[in-house]
Amino acid sequence: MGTLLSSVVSVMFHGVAYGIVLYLISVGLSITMGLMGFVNLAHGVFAMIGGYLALSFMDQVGLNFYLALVVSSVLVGVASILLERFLYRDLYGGDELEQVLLTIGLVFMAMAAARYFWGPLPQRAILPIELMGQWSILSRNFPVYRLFLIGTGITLFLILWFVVDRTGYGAKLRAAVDNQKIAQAIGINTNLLFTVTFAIGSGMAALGGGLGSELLAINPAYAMEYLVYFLIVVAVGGMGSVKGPFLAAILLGIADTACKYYIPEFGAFFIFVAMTFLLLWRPAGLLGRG
Amino acid sequence: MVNLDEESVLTTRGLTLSFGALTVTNEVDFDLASGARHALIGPNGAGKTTFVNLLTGILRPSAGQILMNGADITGATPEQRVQHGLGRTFQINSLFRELTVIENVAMSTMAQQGIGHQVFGASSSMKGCFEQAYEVLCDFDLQHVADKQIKNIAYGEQRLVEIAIALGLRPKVLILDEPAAGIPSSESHVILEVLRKLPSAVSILIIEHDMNLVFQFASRITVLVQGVVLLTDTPEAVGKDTRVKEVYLGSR
Amino acid sequence: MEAGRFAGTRMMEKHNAETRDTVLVRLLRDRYLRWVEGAILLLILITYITFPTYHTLLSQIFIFTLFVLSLDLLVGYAGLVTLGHAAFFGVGAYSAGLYAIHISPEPLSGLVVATSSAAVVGLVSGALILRTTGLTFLMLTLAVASVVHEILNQAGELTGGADGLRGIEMSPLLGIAEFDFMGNTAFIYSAVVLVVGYLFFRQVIRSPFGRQIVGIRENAIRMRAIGSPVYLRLLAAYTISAGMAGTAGALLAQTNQFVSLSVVTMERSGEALIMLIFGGAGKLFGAFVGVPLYMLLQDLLSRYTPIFWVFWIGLMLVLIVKFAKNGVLGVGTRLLNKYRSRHG
Repeated sequence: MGTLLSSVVSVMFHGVAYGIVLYLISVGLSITMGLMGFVNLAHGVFAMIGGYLALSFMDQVGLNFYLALVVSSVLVGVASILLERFLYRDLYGGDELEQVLLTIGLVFMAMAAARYFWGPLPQRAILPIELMGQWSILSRNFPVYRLFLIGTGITLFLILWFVVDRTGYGAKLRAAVDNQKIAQAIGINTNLLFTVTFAIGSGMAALGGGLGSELLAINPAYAMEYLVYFLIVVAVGGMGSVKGPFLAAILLGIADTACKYYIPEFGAFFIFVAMTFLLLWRPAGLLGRG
Repeated sequence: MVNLDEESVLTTRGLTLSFGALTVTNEVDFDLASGARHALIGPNGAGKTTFVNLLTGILRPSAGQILMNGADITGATPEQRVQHGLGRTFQINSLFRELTVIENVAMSTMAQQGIGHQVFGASSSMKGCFEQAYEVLCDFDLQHVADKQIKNIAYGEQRLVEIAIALGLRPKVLILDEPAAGIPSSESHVILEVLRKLPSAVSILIIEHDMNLVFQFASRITVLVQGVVLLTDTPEAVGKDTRVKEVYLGSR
Repeated sequence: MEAGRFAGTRMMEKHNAETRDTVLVRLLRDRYLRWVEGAILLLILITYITFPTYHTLLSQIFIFTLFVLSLDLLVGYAGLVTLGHAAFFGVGAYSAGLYAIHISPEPLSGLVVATSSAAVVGLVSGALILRTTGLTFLMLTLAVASVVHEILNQAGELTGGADGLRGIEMSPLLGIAEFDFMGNTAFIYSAVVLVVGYLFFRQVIRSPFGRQIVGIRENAIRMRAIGSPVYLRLLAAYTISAGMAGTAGALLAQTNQFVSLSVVTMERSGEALIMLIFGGAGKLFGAFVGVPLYMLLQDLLSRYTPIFWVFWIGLMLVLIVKFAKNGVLGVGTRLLNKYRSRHG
């Protein structure tokens, strides 16, 4: 009994950490999908590049951990503006097939570029000394880094929640997600809104990629490999919200960790089956809009 | 008021639709007589489109009944209602923009002929469907644009195709949702002429804001205000009714 | 109304090849269609004679063309964007392989079994997921493919798991033609199946059913309003498409005499989509143009830049979406339009 409880606590803990990483990466995708109606299958590329850059800054430039993460996230966020304005904007609200193909093409390009610059092997995560090791809480040992990860993730989630629910920007965002035409009619500069939101979403993904490099190994196939998970978080959590994907990501993180621990022979099988039935039951996601 | 003199092809009894405390359609009794030219009017927000959506099955009522030629269709799906002979047009054009005019109408003639499921051996039936579609286009004087894509013809012609598609179904009951929408009143006579040429066997319910069109076309008018039927009577009576004038005070 | 009768018939003959671009429809009047089809047939015959050492490669091209043709039915005609089509390809391949090993090495019956299995998987998964649209639907196609992949991976004893299914030995085709190392039988076999598959595909597209499918793509709401059972029509199209993909998979298993898990990956689904777009979706012959083009490009590029060729494919995809979204056939149509408008 003791070992079962022990393993459950362990699975929950690591599941939540995993879920937090998925959330940080996917929340941007959820918002941009709900806001611009754009299927961005290349979203994982932001996370991947964020991870590569953060690690390179730490490794080659010698930046400290926190600075490397911030700088790489900002860089990715700013660079993504170019992508949004020149490549994506024309396709908003348009043919879904085109969006899928364009973004797949970008994924291919990113995969090849990553391989070219950093080689085919997965990158080793670099943790700062103060976050290594374990802490003892209630006579159990927890890796410090994951505690840090969970803490940071929850903080960011609360900040996002606050921004969306309580600020002027958030109000405009919610209005535009609900009905873009009316939002424009009442004077909201939707183009600027899109660009800013897109940049924030990409920056967060980059942060998630960098923070989560221990859990989701940074490698050239990153954007393709983990794409399904990001999409699950968005589809199950509902597009256009910051809260739904949080719940979905945590659930997915725990479920996936539990499956890998207790029934490894079945791998991701149950996850996909469960997700299929969940989406059939609630096509707009658990907390999503119609 | 239930009129039992003429055969009613489409009837509602106590039709109600509520969302929580908000009642959008309130105990509506309605009869569409056989061969009718019946208009439904009312100020914006009166619930006319909601009523149409209830009739066609897109919305489910909270209470009440819908009957078509005596058969209870309250629980029927939109597709089933089409099988019963109910056709409709949309206020905003709902066309197949990339296809040609004749292909648009052929969609419904194929559905009407019941060959939509066929993969093999249907080439002669398909020829028949196209011929049928062409005839419909001739009735609308659209045969000269038969081969043009919808996106390349004028808005007024598109509006006519909107009706032509519904007619391809050979419906018994036709609901026209603002056929003159977006047409300047100086041009609405084109629509009026087309409406006048519609087969007398088809019972027609028209939703419209264009009062000229309504008073020239309809032989019976129902006025709907905030989901409630104000009155149903001849155009002359409705035109003179003081309540109706009040409701429309301020608007055209 | 007599004029109406004949005019209608002429109209219909004009509109018999249903594609996205109506000008192409006029160009593909029946006799033009015959020319193009004849040319393709001739090309197949010529390559048999002029490339005797490439028969195996060519049969691969035919197999993928059939696969992409099945995808065209879904993506180009029904407007259903899927990233999980390889699932049906894989089901067909493994069914044919397992059938050959455990039941009978006779190829034609194996083809039938594989097509049916894939169609059943298509019917069941389609029944579940076709109620959804957009991203949810796309997601679910991925999910179904992942589930199929997992099942095939985990059932290692039966399928060989990550090592692949080996030991497939086919008995001679129709009792006379042995599957030889030169790939002659494979060539003829896959070419014939491709031609039959194409004829079936063409029949479906030009039938009332095919037109309804296009109608659903263009305006599903209006289709419902004219009484068309949209869900059932899409389900039928999905099942047919899955079956055809299964046929292609079976051909692969039978001609290669080996099946690996790579037949059921997202890469395979994505690749098929790319091949289709290169040629042009919803244009009847897109697969015939896109598959050889892609495979040629892939071969060329990977020889010059062995690691980086994926980059160029990605770039081409981006450029195509931006500038030539109807693929090669779309560009061809535009050029033909310009020619016609200048020369009356």
